[in-house]
Amino acid sequence: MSALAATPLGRSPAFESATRVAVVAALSATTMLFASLVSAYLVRRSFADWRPSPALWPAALLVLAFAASLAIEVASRLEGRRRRPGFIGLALASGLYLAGALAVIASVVSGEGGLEMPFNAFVALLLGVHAVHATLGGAFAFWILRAETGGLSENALLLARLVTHFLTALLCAIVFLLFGLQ
Amino acid sequence: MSANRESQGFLSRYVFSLDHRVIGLQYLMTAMGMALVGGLLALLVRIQIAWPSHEFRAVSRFLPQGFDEGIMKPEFYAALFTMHGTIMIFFVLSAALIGGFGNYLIPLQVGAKDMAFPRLNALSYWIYAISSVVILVSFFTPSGPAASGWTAYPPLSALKGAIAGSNLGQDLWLLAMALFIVSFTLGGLNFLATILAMRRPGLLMMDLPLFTWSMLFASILGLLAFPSLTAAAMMLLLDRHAGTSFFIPAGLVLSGETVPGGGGSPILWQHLFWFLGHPEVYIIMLPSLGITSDLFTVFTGRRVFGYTSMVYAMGFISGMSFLVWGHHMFVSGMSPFLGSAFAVTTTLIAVPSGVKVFNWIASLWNRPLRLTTPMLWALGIFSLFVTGGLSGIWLGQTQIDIQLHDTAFVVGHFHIIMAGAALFGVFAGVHYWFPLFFGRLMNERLGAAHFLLTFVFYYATFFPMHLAGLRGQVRRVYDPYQYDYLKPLAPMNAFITWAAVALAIAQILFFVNFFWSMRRGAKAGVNPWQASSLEWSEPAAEGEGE
Repeated sequence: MSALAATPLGRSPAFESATRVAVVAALSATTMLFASLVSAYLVRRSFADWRPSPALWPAALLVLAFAASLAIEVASRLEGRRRRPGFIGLALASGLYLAGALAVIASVVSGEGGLEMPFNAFVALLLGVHAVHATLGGAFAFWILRAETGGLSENALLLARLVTHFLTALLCAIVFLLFGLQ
Repeated sequence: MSANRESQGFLSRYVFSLDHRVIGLQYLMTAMGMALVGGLLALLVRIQIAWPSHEFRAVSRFLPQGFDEGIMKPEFYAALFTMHGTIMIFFVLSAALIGGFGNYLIPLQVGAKDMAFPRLNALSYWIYAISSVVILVSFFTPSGPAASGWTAYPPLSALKGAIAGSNLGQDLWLLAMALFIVSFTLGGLNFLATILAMRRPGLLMMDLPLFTWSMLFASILGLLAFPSLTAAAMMLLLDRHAGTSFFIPAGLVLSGETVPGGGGSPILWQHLFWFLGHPEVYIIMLPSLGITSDLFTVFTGRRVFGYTSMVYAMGFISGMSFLVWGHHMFVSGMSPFLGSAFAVTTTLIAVPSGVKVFNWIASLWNRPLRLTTPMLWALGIFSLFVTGGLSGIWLGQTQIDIQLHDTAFVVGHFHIIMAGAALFGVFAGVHYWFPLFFGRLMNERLGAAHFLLTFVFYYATFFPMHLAGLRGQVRRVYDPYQYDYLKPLAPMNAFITWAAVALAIAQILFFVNFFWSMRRGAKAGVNPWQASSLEWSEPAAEGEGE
């Protein structure tokens, strides 16, 4: 990873274009991963033993995800050092989101029915996979933003925004499927 | 560049290199090593089918855990066909065609200096190498490697105590597949970025060789299809270790005891698996078809007939490959209406395939052919594509597939269309681009002999399987002759096994030719085949060519 971080971004228009292609391709693959998980969820919830359980955590996680999206938008609209609070907000919201997601998974695993209850299993799975992608996405955003200390390129900022908003949208879809379809 | 490379040590030059050419060869060499393992497993499978109750004392000495007094154990037989399929499909054919040729050739054919992300490229290879080691290590676990088939159908794959191979071996199988998918995804991102964004200025997409087009489509397929297996593998892992029951049905009885939990659906795994499984067929076939088209261009002296329609045909095949997975599940109890829909989509794939065949015939028609070894392999691919494609149309129809499902007919079909066409693609590519790899030509006589023997024994091995399948021989059965109606097929099965042994022996010619030609082959010079694609405008491999 350190070797990767050493690669300067924004070296040429072709390289910037290549980075955009790679990010869009990676997000497409992620979309397909969640589409597969969601289709499995939709099949399973039609079985007779399906019992959903209400929870309050989605609201808290959604707020944190939206805060992350908002923070990077704020950062992208400012210049130079004035961006810093936005990035700090992004890191803070992302960190809190990850901690929250892990706490929810832990409570689902140890709660009533545990993972033997299909609904709980899907909550843990979807949220866990989202958290993994949020970690990877965060690492990617950190890498491209950090590599541009000499002057943040529009390309790097665009990609970081794209990844952040994508992950927020993904969480919205997950929460809707788990709780909005009941 | 040359001086720079000479100043590098052996490790940084050949092992931890970021050069796409070295990484391509690393993929190719690793895949060749894995092919030896996969091929050996195939021979053991065939020996068991032909002579199930025969004592093989000599073989059992080398593999004591798989034999009981010289007779192969049923669970070992299951492990053999599982690992053969897994290794050959993912670790040999996908790796050689996509990782090997793709890495070496894409930057050259698009006029780029290297891949868009060289470090990611090296990382991709090393993850593949580790996944290969993991899958091989599973052979040495106390309970043996996975034994639930390359399709890893649950509940067999989901229950740790089901059979010996359901233990650590299955976990290692899942881990190896997860690593392979990560590797493939990183490679696919790189290929897409390189082809779409790093082309030499002025080089249009419609100027690219069809091989590069095939890699573009294969990369897209991999990026969009492999996540489905990732999802399934994660769920299976949770079923095995976290107490979930995504795929474990209710009321399942194992060794006289009811499995706790349950309520899941094993059919769900099949849907997720085959959503990858069918595109995977095209992931390994498209590069082979691209190579064939490009070789027809080179060795007929004119651009392949209908270049544009070839591109669209590959695109249509790729798109349709996401809509046909259900034809692998006609006997899973799916609605007949859904089955008919999948039969229609499957048959539709015959249309772009027909376009390719028509264009190839038109390309060869009334033209002077240079029957070099690469061209012979390309003609071999053409033959296998037509033969296997025709039996594929049969299997795409519900009425026929219900009769032939899980028989030797299916085994014969996919070994001809998928494995054969892809394997011949590897041989075609190695012979054709060998001068680029090593600056020397492979021996043409040895190459032609290897082709002829392989072609004959390949058909001798896999064509009779169609007949055996039509007569009801089911696949993956430890001892077919426990059923009286299959006893008359014993001579045919023995013939198939002898043909497979001959096929394996013929491959010695390839390895001899490959390693001998690396050092002693005739020097190739620049562009030995008089090709017009960009990769030949590069100087030959350093230190070996002129």
